[in-house]
Amino acid sequence: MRKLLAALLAVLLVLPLTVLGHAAAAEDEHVSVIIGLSDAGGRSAIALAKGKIEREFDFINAVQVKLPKRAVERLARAQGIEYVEPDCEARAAAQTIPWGVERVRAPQVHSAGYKGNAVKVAILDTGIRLNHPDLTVYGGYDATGTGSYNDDNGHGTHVAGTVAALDNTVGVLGVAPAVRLYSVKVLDRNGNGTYSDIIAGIQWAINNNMDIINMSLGGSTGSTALQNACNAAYNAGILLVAAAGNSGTASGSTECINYPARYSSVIAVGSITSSNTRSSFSSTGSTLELMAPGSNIYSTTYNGGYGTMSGTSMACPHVTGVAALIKSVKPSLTNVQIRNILNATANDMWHDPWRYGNGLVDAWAAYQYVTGGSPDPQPQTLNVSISTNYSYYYLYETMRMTVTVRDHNNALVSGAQVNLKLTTASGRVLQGSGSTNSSGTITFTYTTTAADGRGIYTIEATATKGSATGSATKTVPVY
Amino acid sequence: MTRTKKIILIVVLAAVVLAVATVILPSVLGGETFTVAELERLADKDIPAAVYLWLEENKHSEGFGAFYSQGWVYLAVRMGQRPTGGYSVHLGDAQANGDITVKVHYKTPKPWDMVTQVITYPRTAVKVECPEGPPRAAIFLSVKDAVLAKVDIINLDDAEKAE
Repeated sequence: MRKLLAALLAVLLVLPLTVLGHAAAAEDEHVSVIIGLSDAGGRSAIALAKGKIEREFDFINAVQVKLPKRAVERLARAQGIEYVEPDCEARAAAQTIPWGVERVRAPQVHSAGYKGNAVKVAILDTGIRLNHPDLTVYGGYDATGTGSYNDDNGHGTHVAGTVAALDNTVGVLGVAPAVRLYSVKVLDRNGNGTYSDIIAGIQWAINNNMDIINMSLGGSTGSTALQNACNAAYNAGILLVAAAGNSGTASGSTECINYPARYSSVIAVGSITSSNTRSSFSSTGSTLELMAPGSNIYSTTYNGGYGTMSGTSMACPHVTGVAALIKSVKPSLTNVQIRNILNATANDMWHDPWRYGNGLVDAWAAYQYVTGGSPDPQPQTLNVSISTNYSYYYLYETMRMTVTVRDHNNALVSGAQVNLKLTTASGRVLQGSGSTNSSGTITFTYTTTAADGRGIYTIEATATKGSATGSATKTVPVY
Repeated sequence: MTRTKKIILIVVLAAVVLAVATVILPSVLGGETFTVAELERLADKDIPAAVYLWLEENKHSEGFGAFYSQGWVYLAVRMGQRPTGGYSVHLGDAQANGDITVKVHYKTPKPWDMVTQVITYPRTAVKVECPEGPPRAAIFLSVKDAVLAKVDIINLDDAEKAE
């Protein structure tokens, strides 16, 4: 009966697509754009381009137009046209929980009532976009001489979002959404900085009683002054977390942890993919301490929206966020105690310290440890991945979403129950479910519609077999 | 040691110092020196859509592109995927004389630089006024005048007429 219901749901998900697929042929290659008009000639140009004005925005002298895609370029240069922009909504329609936040089991700690309240976190980076609607910045410092700790690169804002994106109804959720976030700008607009800038940032963090310093940065050579600064901060009670580096090789055999992550006073964080494997770029070596999600991480961007980035830069703030959660659970914990707890409770599913350190940081296991709850058994994890037939789509094209499930030994799992949730750009949620076949996969299809809109579509898949579970999230743009 | 041997030793040492200063150090210190006037990098909003698409659609791979539209040549360079921040590409010293030539300067992080540990796709686009019409081709040169690429110029105005 359960299988029958699952099959029925899968069919219901597919059916609308089949019907809409025929409509697609008639309207194929039409796009929606917003056109700024400089004079009356612009309307003539739109008509000549066979464009249909759908909405008027008199207050900015612009119109929303549906027109053949191939006419866009020509129209953009026509007299009377000031600009032509794609009518593509990049922001998420509702709050998304990025796969990394789920994977470190932060939401479970949130549900227990702890979100990092009152913990002071300094993000030593390119600055943070101060007016991003999904971030609250409590203060900061500019060590680079630009006169502002606002972000003019984008990296720092993305990192900050993974730590602390607000728990609200928009955008993304951070690992510790209630922390007090401080923007300490030590890198320039090219993502480049000097030892002295980093040291000045660390000094500011000490003087302003920060609890945690996040450093999603690194270099290949060490510095006595930088090491001394890190040691001083650690001795002052600050927990220092840094990116292990993106110098990893496919085999992962080289010793290539970056500085300052390599110093003993700093936690070196490597990166994993949503399939629970080391990201190919993630640095390896004897000082690697913890792993966290770092490939295809969705977070806040400096233009006020959201986007995906990859790197150990993205893994680092997951550990910072988990440390902040634990600090908020028991504020009396020292930096050394928090570090020990994170290491002791990490999910070491690999037993390969050179490539994976002590394992995947685990907020829920650390919480259980701190609160004296029942010993948390190591979760049995299924590795879930989502692939799509294209990396982006136009309206009326059909998405084929294939979910693959593997066990902790990377063996394909048949008969796993998979639930798929597709959130469209308009916020509509479609769901389907079924079981993986003998190849460990199940495929769902959906044809985009005008009603579901252009923008970012979020695909979330969870898989269960016995007591083992796993999940994955993927976003695809629809133009 | 004879006087001749001393002179030979001094000459050899001088040659080594010169080689280190001119060849080895620049590469170790993060790329070649760029002394020519740099062209202003275009903001994304000022890049024609066709050029922007060219930059974005193949951002993982290195590439050189040239486009002409309404009296301007747009020169674009993709650096491809890089493992960290701190990389950038700069164009300068453009000269139009039948063909258009431009010098390309790649900046890479120095060994002691602190950089963001994020995968990046550095690229740039500039524009050069060519009121006489599109040049024949665009030649991208290294700072030492080695030819990096010679590409045909895509005339966006012709594409518009074809529409």
